[in-house]
Amino acid sequence: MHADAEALYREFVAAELHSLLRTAYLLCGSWHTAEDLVQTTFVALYRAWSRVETWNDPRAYARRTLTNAFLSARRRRASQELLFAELPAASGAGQAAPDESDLVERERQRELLRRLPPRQRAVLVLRYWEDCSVAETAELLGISTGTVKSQTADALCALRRTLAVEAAKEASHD
Amino acid sequence: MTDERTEVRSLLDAVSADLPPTRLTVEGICAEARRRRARRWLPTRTRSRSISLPSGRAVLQALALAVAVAALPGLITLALLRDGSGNETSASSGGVSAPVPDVLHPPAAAPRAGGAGPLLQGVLVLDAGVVVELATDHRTLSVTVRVGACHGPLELRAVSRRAAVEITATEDARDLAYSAGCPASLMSETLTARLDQPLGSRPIVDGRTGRAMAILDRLAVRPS
Repeated sequence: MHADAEALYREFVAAELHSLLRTAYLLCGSWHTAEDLVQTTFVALYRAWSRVETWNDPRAYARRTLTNAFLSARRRRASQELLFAELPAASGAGQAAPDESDLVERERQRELLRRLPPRQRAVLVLRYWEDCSVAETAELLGISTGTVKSQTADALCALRRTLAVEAAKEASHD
Repeated sequence: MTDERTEVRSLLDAVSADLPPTRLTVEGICAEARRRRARRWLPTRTRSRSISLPSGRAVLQALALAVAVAALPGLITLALLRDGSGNETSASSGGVSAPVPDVLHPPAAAPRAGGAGPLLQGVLVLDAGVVVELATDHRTLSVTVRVGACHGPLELRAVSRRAAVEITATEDARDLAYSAGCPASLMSETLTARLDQPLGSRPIVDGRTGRAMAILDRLAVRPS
């Protein structure tokens, strides 16, 4: 790759790394898998950079690659491991310890998201987190716009149902 | 609709709010991307047999092929074993799904493959401590080796000669696919090969070093 193109690529990686990691985490629900997915995405982007950089939106390419990598990984159910010299720092290291009730609430929210099937979760993340339109989401996932709408409705319904069940349980405990 | 969007977005925001620091770095990603790009020029098993590329890339492909052959003498060993002087049989370890190591840039901390010894250019040196298990049919040979978690598919090849049977354990590191590193752990793996004719009284030697291997004859130790 030409030096200028490589410099642009590095800039793009630096700018998008954390944003893509967050999206990847929302998609897969595992931090280490998210790191794998993002690395896979950037490696694929590097190969295509000579084409991508001329496009208007390389982020769209990265988002598409990330989504495909997520769905493929789910299909393969492959496990990959990364070897690190040091143990990963604990969540929120160096920050003030969050309140216990916050942790419980966050874990509950994560569990809500985890319970959704992968494609429904992907639809929610792409539409509401990445602000993709129905058509863009459909194109990214390789499904019809009708399916995007129905999957969104199903996902929201499932979330509301779970929340209602939990609320009912809490009320009965009280 | 706006409320729904806000509601879901705040849920997603909360879920991904306090993520741990990542080990991915811009430098690391760029280096990995460059390595992966370089690997694309390495021939795979199928590509090396049928090169039918557009003429514009043919020269580059030929150069890459030459570099790959020079970098992986283990492949040459495989070719030499097929010299027609003996009956070659082989069987792979099978089911190896772990990510494979990068032989050009091996991770420093990860243990590499080795029977009880080091990996030399894709061929395992089977140390004296390794015992070849001879099944009751006197044709099936098994060797248990210890390998790192990220290795290529292993294969045991046996070449029958008049005076001895040569066995060679090789690692096929051509299909490079792993991402960043390997778990620092050793695994035990049993490799098997089958001879065309019973071993008889012939010794089994390591094809790489020529050293005679210890044999555990299952027929001899079979309870009566």
